[in-house]
Amino acid sequence: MSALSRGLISRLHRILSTNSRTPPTATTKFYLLRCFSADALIDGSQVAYHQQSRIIEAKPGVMTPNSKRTGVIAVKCGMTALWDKWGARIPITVLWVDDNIVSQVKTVEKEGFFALQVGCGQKKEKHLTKPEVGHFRAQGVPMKRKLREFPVTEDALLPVGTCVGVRHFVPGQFVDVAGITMGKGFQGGMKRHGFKGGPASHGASLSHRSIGSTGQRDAPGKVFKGKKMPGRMGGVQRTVKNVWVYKIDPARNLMWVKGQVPGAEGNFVFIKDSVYKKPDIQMLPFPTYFGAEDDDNAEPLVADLGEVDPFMVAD
Amino acid sequence: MQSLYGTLFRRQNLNISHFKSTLAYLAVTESKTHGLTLLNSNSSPPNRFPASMTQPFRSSHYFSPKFGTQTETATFLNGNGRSCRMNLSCCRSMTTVGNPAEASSEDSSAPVADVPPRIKFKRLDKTARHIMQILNKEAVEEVRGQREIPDIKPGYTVRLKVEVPENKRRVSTIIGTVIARRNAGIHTTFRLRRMVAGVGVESLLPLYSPNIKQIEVLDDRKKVRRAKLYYLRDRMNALKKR
Repeated sequence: MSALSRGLISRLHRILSTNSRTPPTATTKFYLLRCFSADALIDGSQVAYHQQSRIIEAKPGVMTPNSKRTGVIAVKCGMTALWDKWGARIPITVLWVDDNIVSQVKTVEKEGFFALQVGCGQKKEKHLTKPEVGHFRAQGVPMKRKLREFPVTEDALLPVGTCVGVRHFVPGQFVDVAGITMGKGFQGGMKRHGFKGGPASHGASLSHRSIGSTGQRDAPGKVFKGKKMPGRMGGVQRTVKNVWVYKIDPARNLMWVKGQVPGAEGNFVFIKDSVYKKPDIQMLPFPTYFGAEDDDNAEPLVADLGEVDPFMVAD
Repeated sequence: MQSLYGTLFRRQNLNISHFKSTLAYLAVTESKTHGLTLLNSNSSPPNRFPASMTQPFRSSHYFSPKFGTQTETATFLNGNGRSCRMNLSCCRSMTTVGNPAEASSEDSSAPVADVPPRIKFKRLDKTARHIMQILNKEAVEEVRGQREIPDIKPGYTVRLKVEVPENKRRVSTIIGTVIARRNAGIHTTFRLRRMVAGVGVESLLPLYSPNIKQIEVLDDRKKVRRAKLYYLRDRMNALKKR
């Protein structure tokens, strides 16, 4: 519903703006009709219409600094540690990009914004609800275990059914990894917000880990909203930014990234290009990697660590 | 999951002994016969085997009498592993579904059609753990292929040549007694105790670290009755007595 309303609002906005500038054309009238008529949503002919209006081809393009590529859904496999070629030990999280394909394309004409819905894994029909099955049928893609929408720019759109593998990312680049953190339950202020707690001695009783004062006296006479207090901790989505990609294995769709990512082992995480440490746009495959799909005997690619020994440089 | 076994299989199929152990392992777990079936159909060229070979393994009931042919198939496959690798190119490993393209080519050779791609719906944390196990095993094998690592047990006296990257990559020699070993795949560590200027020094070293350039077992005849020789810490001059 939110997507629909988002689409409606932006479309209305656009129509109004076009009205101000140019006389309404037939197509805008058509949009107007389509958004406010209920049967347009279940009409099958809109797919054909969409294809006429916008042809999305799976071919390599040129990435601009404003382009935003799609992300992928991965499964967090667990953590380990490896030695790089200089003998330094790096903490590693293994992420498994399990069979990602584009399951829906959202465009300005239809939804009012550009986005790609990506599906991950496999699922049987009997384990899905009927609306979910209907969605997969309508898009003509296999049943997927996890779906996620990634906003993209217009030039980064991909046709439905395109495989997005681990070659989408390049070793050495930085990514942002989002996931649901592990739930910690009801926690006190010290653990949840990093409060200092009370003194251990000097007459402190029953208040070693308490949160202390929560406000002032009669003047406000209340506790301000947003006061940090004990409560449920964890189990919310968090993004770990600027995660370094150490190694990828295209044959098995595995990805080695440095450090921790949110969530437990076996949880889904969502990987995108880093926002702050932007990767080099010449380096990245755009809109995604269109290599031979069956590069099964491809060797794992390891990030370039340079030719200068970091341990010797330090002196 | 079947393809995971396929991965394990393929990684090791150049090494005959490992390969056989994998096969034995698969044979022991009879409940995973389907996994072996798909592995067989995936990793073998489709028209090289008659339908009778891919057919009977569909139920575990048939499995034990047909085991002889299974090994035969497997050795055959091992014989021309290179061509098999070329044929493998369609199947994407580490996926939970059988490859439909592969299944269709199998159907063309075998009259039995209508085998939908089997989807194993395991809990993802178990699949994740399995992937980590495979990766761990691969990492250990890679290190073992690169350099010789002797079996280190508690009670042995060993001489190590350790490179310290932080200290301008100087190589230092350490001689000491192994007092503990913790087995954890690639993270296996051992604890070395030695006397430096009359003070006992313990170092905890990763066994598979590339910074350990050489491991030499000096004395392995000391018989110990403990797995962890922490009692040596309490004995003065314990190293000399032993």
